[in-house]
Amino acid sequence: MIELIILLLLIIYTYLLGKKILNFFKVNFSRLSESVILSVSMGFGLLVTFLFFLGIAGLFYSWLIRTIIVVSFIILLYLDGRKEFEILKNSFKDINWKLPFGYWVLLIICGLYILFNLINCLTPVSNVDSLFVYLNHARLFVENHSIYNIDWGGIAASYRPLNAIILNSLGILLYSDILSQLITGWLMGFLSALAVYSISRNFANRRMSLIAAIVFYCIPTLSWLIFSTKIDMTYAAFELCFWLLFVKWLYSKDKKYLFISAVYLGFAIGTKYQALYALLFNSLVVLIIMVFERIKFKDVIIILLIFFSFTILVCAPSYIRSLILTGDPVYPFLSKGNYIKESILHSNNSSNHINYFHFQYQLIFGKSFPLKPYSIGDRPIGFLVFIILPALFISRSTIASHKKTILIFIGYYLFSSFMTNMTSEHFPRHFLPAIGLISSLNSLSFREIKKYIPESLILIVFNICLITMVLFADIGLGPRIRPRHLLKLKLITGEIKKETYLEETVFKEPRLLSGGMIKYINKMQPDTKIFALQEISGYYAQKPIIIKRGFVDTLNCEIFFNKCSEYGITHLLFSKNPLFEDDYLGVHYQFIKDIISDPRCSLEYNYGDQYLFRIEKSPVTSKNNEDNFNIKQYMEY
Amino acid sequence: MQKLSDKSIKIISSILFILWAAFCYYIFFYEYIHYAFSLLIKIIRGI
Repeated sequence: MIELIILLLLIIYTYLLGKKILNFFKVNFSRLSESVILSVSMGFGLLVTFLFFLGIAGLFYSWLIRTIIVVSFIILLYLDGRKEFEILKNSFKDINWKLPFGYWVLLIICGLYILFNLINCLTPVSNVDSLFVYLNHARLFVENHSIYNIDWGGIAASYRPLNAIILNSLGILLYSDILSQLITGWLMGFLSALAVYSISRNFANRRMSLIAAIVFYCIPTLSWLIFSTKIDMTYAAFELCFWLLFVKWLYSKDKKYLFISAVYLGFAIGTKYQALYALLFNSLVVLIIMVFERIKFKDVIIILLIFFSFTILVCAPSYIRSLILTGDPVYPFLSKGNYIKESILHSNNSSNHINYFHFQYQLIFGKSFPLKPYSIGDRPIGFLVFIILPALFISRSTIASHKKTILIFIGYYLFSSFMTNMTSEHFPRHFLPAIGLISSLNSLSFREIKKYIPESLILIVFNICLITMVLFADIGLGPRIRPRHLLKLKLITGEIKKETYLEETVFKEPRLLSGGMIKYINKMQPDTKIFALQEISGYYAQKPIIIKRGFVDTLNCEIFFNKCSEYGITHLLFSKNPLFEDDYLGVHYQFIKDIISDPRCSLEYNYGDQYLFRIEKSPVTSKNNEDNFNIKQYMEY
Repeated sequence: MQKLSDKSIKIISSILFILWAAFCYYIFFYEYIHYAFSLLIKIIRGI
């Protein structure tokens, strides 16, 4: 519950902070939703940038950050608190709550789903990627009081844009990792949906915009991202804020909106590489629009330069850090090629690059054409976003008045999904903002389709699809997931403890440290440093488990042991379980076999399939070699 | 006459919309529908 209170205070704080800055630039808010989404996102963006410099300076101390936030919060409350409270109160009074029954059903379904997600996010983080990278790095930053070079402390992702990871650090610094999950998962998910609503309000009424936001919030892709500390929701929220101001510029032609939108784009680029596609696409769009409007070429160049400068200035910190540490601002893409793509998808998946339509079908329905199950390592977008989209083109009048918006949104969706298809893993989460833009077009489609089909019928169809989508594709009611929901409920009601919950869920995962091993590691000497030979996350252990993706590609056995001694690594962790899945990450069995069979390694402890080897200073032959031999046999088998 | 034609357009477009939604729904929830049908058949056979 304390996490919820801190989250609420943090929302108010970022709202006041962001609003102060936006008021300084004289941004006119058309409605409450716009003011909330832009102010809160701006507040979080500024906070993250400030924390980045604190982290670089080695000042990641809980007491310091809490003090700074509390003092600035009190100042902001004193300056603007009463005024903003009055504005919010009056805006709430003006809301027209009269809505037809069908819309209320949609709102109730979505509201219950938001509440479910909130309760879900109050339980310990269990998402594997979050525990490996995004929360693990955040914790390492906090433990070392700085954003340091996690070379032998994390995996390649430690060089990526850091905004979302810093937000995770903020959660840990303020209270706990559950707060991190509430910020980068739940809150950013809600803000993304609010951004879709606000974008849609620029060209549609309240009811239609509600449909657009609900459709976006309930897509299966979002369901698991909200319950995690991954970077995708933060990226989507920042980029959708950029699009909101971009659309305002499109309709008003006030350059102020374009320049402020560049700041949000900078925050998005500082969160995830994929936002660079938006910079490329929008620069071209701005250029084309201005050329068509016969604006002087010199003026166009100046506007574009200001736009670029703002974006680059805001996103620069993470990229400069990567450039200094690795010589590659977009690590690993310039120095190692598309390492992620190559290691995960291999090069033999090239057929997917050609078959773009099939790629779309796979991502929308989660099937290979026509009905073959397709595993994509992400959840599909779902058909609801696209079901009424063709209605946009029924009448010319719809297209005529919003021609630019429709063209840009559809163009960006096709562009970013195409780029995702070509350059990274085939996951819808890599172009989430584009899905948000397509969702916002649903409001225009809905307005159009209402002329030909009774509104009540459309709402019935939407409600049926939405209920089943939320229950089966988002929440999941299958026999595998149901016990987990029950455990969460028991944890929330206090029937079981956090340790029991983790024991029953997270510790049973093959790529995560088992409960018995965690207990043993927690009792080990304080100077213990453990290196995982495979990607095994030990986030819930009290000592950091070091993972370095791809270390076997660059080292041989001798150099490996030298590196271990250089970095003070005392133990090696090995698990039989994920061994046979590891080939796709480029891990060579032979190398691991050589390491654990080396006389410098002796078995100290094992629990289930997981083994902990001590690195001896001088090679020894002990009875443990027999165990090593058994593992070797197992691997050969 | 105009009213009648409007009505028939609404009926036809409503039917087309339902069919289109059902088609998308079927593809997306294919496994679930398949499972539900097999369960239903089992129950009927049991009776």
